[in-house]
Order: sequence, then C-alpha cells, then structure tokens
Amino acid sequence: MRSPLTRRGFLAAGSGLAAATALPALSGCSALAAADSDPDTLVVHSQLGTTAPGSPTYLAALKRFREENPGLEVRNLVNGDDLAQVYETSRLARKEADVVMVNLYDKTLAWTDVGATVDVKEYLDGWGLRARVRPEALTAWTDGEGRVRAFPYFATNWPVAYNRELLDRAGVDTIPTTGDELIAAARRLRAKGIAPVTVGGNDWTGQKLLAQIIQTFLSEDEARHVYTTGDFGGRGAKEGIDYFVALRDAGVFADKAQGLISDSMTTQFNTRSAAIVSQMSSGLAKVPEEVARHTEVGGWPLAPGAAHDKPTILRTYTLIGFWISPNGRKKIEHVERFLRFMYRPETVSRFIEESGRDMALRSDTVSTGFPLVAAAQRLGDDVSQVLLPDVYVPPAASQPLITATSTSFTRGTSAAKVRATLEAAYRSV
Amino acid sequence: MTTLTSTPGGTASRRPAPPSPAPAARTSPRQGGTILAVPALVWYLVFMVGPLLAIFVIAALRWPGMLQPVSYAGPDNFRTVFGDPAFWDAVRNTAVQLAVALPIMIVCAYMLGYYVAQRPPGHRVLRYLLFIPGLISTPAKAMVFYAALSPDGLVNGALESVGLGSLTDAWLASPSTALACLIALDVWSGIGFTAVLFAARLGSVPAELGEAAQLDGAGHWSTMWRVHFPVIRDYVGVVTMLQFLWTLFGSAQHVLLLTQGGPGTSSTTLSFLVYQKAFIAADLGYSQSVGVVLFLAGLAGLLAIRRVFRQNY
Repeated sequence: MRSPLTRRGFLAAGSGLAAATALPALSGCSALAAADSDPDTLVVHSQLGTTAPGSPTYLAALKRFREENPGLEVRNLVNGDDLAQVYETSRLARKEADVVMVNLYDKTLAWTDVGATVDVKEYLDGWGLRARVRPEALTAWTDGEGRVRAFPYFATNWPVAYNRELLDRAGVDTIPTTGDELIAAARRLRAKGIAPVTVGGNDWTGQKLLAQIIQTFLSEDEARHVYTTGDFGGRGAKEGIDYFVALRDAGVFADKAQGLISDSMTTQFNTRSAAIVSQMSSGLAKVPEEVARHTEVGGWPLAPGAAHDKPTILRTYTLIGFWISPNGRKKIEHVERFLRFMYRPETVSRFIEESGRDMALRSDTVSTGFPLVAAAQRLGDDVSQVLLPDVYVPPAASQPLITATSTSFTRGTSAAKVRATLEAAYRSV
Repeated sequence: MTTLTSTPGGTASRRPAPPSPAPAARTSPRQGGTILAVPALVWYLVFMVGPLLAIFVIAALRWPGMLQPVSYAGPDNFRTVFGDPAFWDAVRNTAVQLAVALPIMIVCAYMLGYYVAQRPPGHRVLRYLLFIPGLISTPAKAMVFYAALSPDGLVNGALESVGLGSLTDAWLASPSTALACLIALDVWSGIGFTAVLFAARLGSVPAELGEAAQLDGAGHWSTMWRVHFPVIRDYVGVVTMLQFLWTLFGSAQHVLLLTQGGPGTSSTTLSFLVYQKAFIAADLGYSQSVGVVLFLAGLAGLLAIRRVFRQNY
C-alpha cells in the first residue's frame, strides 16, 4: 500500500512545522517593533522602578505624567546594574528605548562617541533647561568635544558617617580628622568589641573608599591622570597606597573587610556593629532614625603632608541622567514633554523630600526627612573634595579594579602588591 | 528460502532472501525520517553550528564593545591572550577545578549510586533527597553558600561558637580559599544528581552478577568496583563527560555569583574569563579567543575521557 505521506508531503509538513515554529516569534518581534515605533508611545529605560533609592518617587512622577498626558503612553523598562548591557543589545537591534536613565560609568562613557545616544546640548538650550542645571553637573556631563552626554539629574555626596554614640562608648571624644586619630579611635573601638570602619571591601564601595584614600596625596589633576592611565607609580599615588596599607594593617577596617559587600557594610553600620562608614547619600537616607540621631557626617581623616587641607569626601554629579537615544530623537516632542516634567521644580523637590536624593539640578528644597543627607549637603567647604574615578577609569578596567579591591583590603598585602594589583587592572586597556 | 526479483533491465536473478520485507517498503520510511528531521537539522545548523563558527570568526576580530566599530585582528587576539597572566591564572584554576571536582564527584557519586541501587531501607526517599540540589536554582544555591561563607556567615559563626575563632576567614574573598569554595559548590550541587544517574544504570545490571560474586566471597567493595563498575564502564564515561562539560563550561555562573573571579584572579576560570571579557571588559575578540581555547580543551577532554572509559570487554 502506498504510504499516505509522500516525499513532497513530508517536505510540506517539515516546512509547515518550521513556519509554525518561526511565526509566533516573528509576530512577537513585529508586535514589539510596533509598540516601540508607535509615535504615541514613549519608552523609558530606567534603573528606577524596583528597589533603587528614589523608585517610589519616580513611579509616582510617571503616574502624574501619564495623567497629564492622556494621549501619550509611557512604558517603563527597568533594569539594575545590567542596564547598560541590555541597552547596548537593544541598540544593536535598533529597538532601544527612547530615553535611558543611567549614570555615567563604564560602558556608558562611550555611548555618545559611538552614536548609541545623542548629544543633548541643542535640546538643553532649545528647551531652556540649561539654567536649571548646576554648573558643576554640566561640566561633569560634558565630554572632551563639548558634547553634553545626557540631561543631568541625580548627584550624590559621599561623606563619612560617624556614630557618635559608639565613639563615646569607646571613649573617643572627637571625630578623627587625622590618620593617627583614626588609628587610635579604631583601637579603642575594637577594645569595646565594635568594628571601626565598615566597608564593602569586595565590591564597588571598597573601590571608592580605596580611591578616596589614595587621593589623600593627589591633586585633582594628578588623580585624573592616575585613574585615566592606571599609573600608580607616581609619588602621590604611592604615598596614598602606603597610607591605606598603614590604616588597614593598624586595624582601622572591620575584620575580613575584603569579604564584605555593600549590603553587609550597610547592615553593620545600621545595626550599630560598626562605628564608621563611608556612605553615599542614598545610603545615608536609609540609616534608621535611632542611629541617624547619633550620627555625624564628615570627611576621611588626612595624613601628614596630604594634598588636601581638610578631611575628604567624594562628590559627584554623574549619577542617573536622562540620555536620549536615536529612537528618542524621532519622538523628540514626547521626550521634551517628559524632560520638562521631570525638570519641574516640584518634581525635583519630591525626590529630595520623599527619597532623600541629592540632585544635579538647582533647588532650594532641603531634605527634612533625611537629616544625614541634609547634613552632608551642608558640609560644603568644611571638607575637601576628591574625584570619583568612575568617569576617568577606562571601561575595560572598571570591573578589574573592583576585583582588585578585595586584594587591597586583605591584611598583610604589601603596598607594592596593592599597587601591582591596581595597575594589573589596566592591563587590557 | 530464495525468491526471484526483477532487475532494472527486466532480467530475473536468484538472490538470497532479504531479512526484512520488500526493499520498497524498507526505503520509504528511511527517506521520510530524513525529511522529518530537516527542521531539526536546519535548527541545529542555524543555532548550534552557526554560533560555533561565529566563535572562530569573532576570535579573529578586534571588537572593543558591542556598539564599537569592528576590524580584522588576525591572530593578534590569541597573542594577547597567551601573553596575559590572567589567562594563565584562569587555565591553572580551571585545571585545578577539574582535577579536584571531577574525580571526587564521579567516585563519590558512583559509590552513592551503588548504595542506592542496592535498595536499602528508605532508598526511594534517598533518591529524592539526592535530587534536591538539582532542584535548587543556581542563584539560590549561591545565596546559600554566601550565607554560609560570608565573613559574618554560618561557618565563621560556628567556628567562633566552638572556640575556633582563629580559623575564621573571608572564605569567598581569600586567595587561598575562594576557588576551593567554588569547587565545593560544584561537588555539593552535582554529586546527588550524578548518583541518581548511576543508580538508575546500576539498577539495570542483572542482580545475578552481584550475587554470584558474593557467593564467591567478594565483599561489597569488590563487587562494586570489580563486577559492577566494568559492566557500566562506558556509562561512567558518558556521565564523566557530562560532568566535565558542565564544570568546564558552566563554572562561570558560580564564579559570577560568588566571587566575580577574585580576589585578583584567584578564582577566575576560563568560562568566567569568556564572560568577563565579553560582557564586562567589552573585549569580544579576546573573549572569543578564550572561547576557542575552551572549545578545543573541551574537545580534547571529551576524547580523552572517551578513551579512558572505553568498554574493554
């Protein structure tokens, strides 16, 4: 008997099966493309929306924006630290979001150069928003060719928080302002079973504190050179590393700091297990009231011969900004409406009041619900400012530098080894 | 029995009877099977062979980030890779990981599987228990290990509570213990699953073999290794190959979640290096050059394991 399935029949069945498999995927793609290219839809790709500080305020702002613009659909795509990677992938497919909210760091440093996002200078001026931005922020977001990479939005102070209650309990009367005072305070704290300085020696928080301490002996220009080139062999950088090693081996940092991460650091300080922490303002906003009440903010203690005359803090204006993508340029009138809304003084004030965020925009609002954030804002010229190296470290060295951090925080690692480890992070640049 | 069949020219010839029905009936399903396999073959070519070839192509490109311009690099990426101490650290770590994890896992899993195959009391429950690590997602496993091995974690807490505080360490951040922690995670998560695989195969070995050996005075140890092992030797080879591949290519996820390859490069493995260079350091040419090395190492390892565990009876 002849088989009911002939060769042609099998081929037809095979083709049909393949088509049936491919069609849903293709139709899915076309649906996505339709939504993205819909002229009445604005797609925002953001790190805000889940647990990042400021997310509830941002989501509430989106809700108000939608209510004000009923004909405009706003889609909010949320990613965490992987946002830059996800955005680059979507850009390769030309399906990137219209507006991206991310900080200036690592991969994003190259976006304007490679056309992944557009120069926003003409929009900043054309929409009359330049005057809203703090001048330091504009400088930080402007690249070497005068292009403004994105609309600045969030900034941060990164002071050192001292728990006065724990210092008092250990018999430390004054906030340490020199390395020797800090070492003495650490000894007294340890004697009382209190960890001195807690730090995520295994992640970015440790990397930032290490950079801050190394800059004790560096001017701004020297620091920029060191972190751009990875040359830690200069006199100032060497002295900074020596200072760090001396503090570390004197027991200034919490035990096993090389294994701690930002979460453990925050927990140790917020639960009074540690007395001192270098914390960005969004972290300060989360310090419980009963701890915040006894906490003072200041700078990192100096060593003799330092390049700074006051204890140092980190301060940056390059946290989340609004980047406009090539797709966003096609819907620029929607982007304009969105940015004008986000730049409104009342919207900005809500981020300060409700979330304790520092802003890169001008505002008279002071954070009353977050006293430590406000105290950090008031530090002003009482402290000296060092560079946040993020903008200067080449992308290829960013993660290796963080990986090198835990080696640096390991007790007994010599200054020469720390230097070699830091320089090795730049090997593939 | 013989039959007469017609040749194409129409002449009859005497041939031995075919063992199966008529040739026409025999060829038709075979052709049909091939055609039915076309979609799968196309799928395989596009999504399996395609990416494999892409690895070799990208390894010859200078590609500093997904959005960056691409240019031809020739063998430069391999020169960079072979001149990079981080690569050799990754080679050493991967070799240590394989040399430690693979034998421990296979030997222990085989013995555990043998025990389960003997159907001891509660063996059904035991099979489920052994499977449990396989039912836990990788991030959840990493969280368990982080909770145990972080500086203020369970291990250090236990050591301090029994007066061994001097032995505490930052296990995941110490150059001397970070890789060992990853190996422990590999072994912990793989041993039960592998044991169940062995138990399933050992369950199909005729019981008479073991009984005969024990009648001849062999103990469990001898029966396990001198009777059952030779019988399933090729199966052990297959399982070893799978574990080898999972360890060689899959270690990146544990490294990423627990140590990020650090401190320094002390827990960087080859598969993590591929990930790190592609997605973090944005050097796709370097990444895929390591991918080529990894592919060749995997191929060589498979052949070696196949040869070692070839059935020899």
